[in-house]
Amino acid sequence: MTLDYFDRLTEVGGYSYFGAFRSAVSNVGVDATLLNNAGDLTDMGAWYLGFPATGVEPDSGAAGTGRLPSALAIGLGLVAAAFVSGF
Amino acid sequence: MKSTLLFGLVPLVAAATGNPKRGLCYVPDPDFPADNQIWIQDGSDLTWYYNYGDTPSPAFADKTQEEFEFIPMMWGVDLQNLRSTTFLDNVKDLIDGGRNITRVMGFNEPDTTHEVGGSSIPPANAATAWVANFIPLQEMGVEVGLPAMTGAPSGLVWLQEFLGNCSELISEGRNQRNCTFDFLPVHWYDNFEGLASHIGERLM
Repeated sequence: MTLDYFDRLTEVGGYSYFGAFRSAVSNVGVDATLLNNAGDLTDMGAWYLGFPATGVEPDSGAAGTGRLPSALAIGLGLVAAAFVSGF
Repeated sequence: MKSTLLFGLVPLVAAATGNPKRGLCYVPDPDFPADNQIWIQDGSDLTWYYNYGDTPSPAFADKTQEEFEFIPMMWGVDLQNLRSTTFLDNVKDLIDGGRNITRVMGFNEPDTTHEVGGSSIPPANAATAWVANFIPLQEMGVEVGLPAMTGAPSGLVWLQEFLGNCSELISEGRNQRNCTFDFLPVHWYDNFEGLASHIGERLM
């Protein structure tokens, strides 16, 4: 939803997501990353790159308990940098 | 002599997938360097990246600006040498070396402390460093992005002070000038509704 917003808004010249790392080393929580503990793309990671969802849970792939992220958790976990242009 | 312009319509070759707006905030994991290639794999929509610094990342060194654009950032300042032009010089070196830098970004979260990843710079000091590095880049035709604030409301106050300080530095008597910029980086760590409101506020 947020990606569509950024893509559609002409005032947004670019954006990048902070979370392009594994869940285990995340400093923004275990559910907001684009990679799980094994380095596989999570749903968000896949979507961000333009691929279909992978069904990979962020906190999976290692000794963590696999937890199903709710859509709400993904929305709240949004961390983004965007730049507004057109000045 | 009469000259005739002949326009041919050349069908556009389908561009490789790539979203011109979508980029990578590159934070390499030293334990798993192979992860770095995930972001540039075939079919990836990512078209640009930054790494909080002014030097292209080794993992992407063989990518041209057209393939995967590097956007240099001046992360912070040297408080002992506010007029240092190391950033400007490094960007010029990249351009002279054949990497056509067209966009650069200002300081990362100067409105907060080092402990949480900010560059912790008073606006007036930031203005001095900006005048030394970013105005010359603008004069070279490079697009510049203002320092990126945290998502807090106080960030807007910092920016307004910064711009005021900056304009003072470049104005003289009757010749009042304003510091200008091409884009405004925004950081947001929360839900979508807040983001839309935050961006809306900055557009005004």
